[in-house]
Amino acid sequence: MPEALPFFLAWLITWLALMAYLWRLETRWRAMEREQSPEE
Amino acid sequence: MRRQRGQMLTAVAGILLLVAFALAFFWVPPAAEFQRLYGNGHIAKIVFVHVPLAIVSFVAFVVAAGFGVAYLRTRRLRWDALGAATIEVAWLYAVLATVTGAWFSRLAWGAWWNWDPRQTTMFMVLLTYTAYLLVRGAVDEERRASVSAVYAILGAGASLMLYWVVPYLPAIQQISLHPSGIIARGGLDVSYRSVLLLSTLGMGLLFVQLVRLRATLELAERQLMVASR
Repeated sequence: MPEALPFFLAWLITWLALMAYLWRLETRWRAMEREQSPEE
Repeated sequence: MRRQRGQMLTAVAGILLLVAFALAFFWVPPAAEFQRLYGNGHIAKIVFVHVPLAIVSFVAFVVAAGFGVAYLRTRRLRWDALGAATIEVAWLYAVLATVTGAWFSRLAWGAWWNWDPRQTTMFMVLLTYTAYLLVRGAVDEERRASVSAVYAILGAGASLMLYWVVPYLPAIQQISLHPSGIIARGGLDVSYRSVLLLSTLGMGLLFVQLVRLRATLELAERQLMVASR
């Protein structure tokens, strides 16, 4: 359905950008948790 | 517990957005008026991405002003972290609303950017909050929260003008190509309204989770910095 491709691309770009941002926050959060936890 | 709640929020938002996408792709028909005007009725479906991003970002800029007021009244850093996180995520949403708007502009009007009043006002909103992020990074730590709070309050006033007042002035509406008029007068199928609602809910929930995460991170980083001194 090539007519629907523009919508699909708009959705895909938005989805990827939001998920990349979420992933970045999660990664920073996990790194901080590791830093804060006492060394074993 | 808090982390589990966050994961649940992400999952619900993700499911809502995927359902909205599937409905938009397979169920919602192409818009007849967009077909007549722009030669492709399917591009109307970009509203399912563009409009929720714009709505959530506007509401968030107003909410951030509320956090600013709360900080100035209580001087609790939690409000500052929430305000800064809200503006950062809302800025990302506004950027994505601008990008998807430019994509629509390219498909409908043949140019990525043509300084339509809507594009121009959105660009001004982006400049306002890009400046917020730069100012917040540049101000020294003692004054950072107060300056950010005052900026957020003034920024919300500017956003109100740029989102809801300027684009609706009769002189501006005459020259604007933005299809909000088609949506406002019910020129889209009823199915558009339900999917738009679903998509806005999903974008809103995801927004809440991103802000929770960003604010927690901001507070934790500050605690670490204080502890390391």
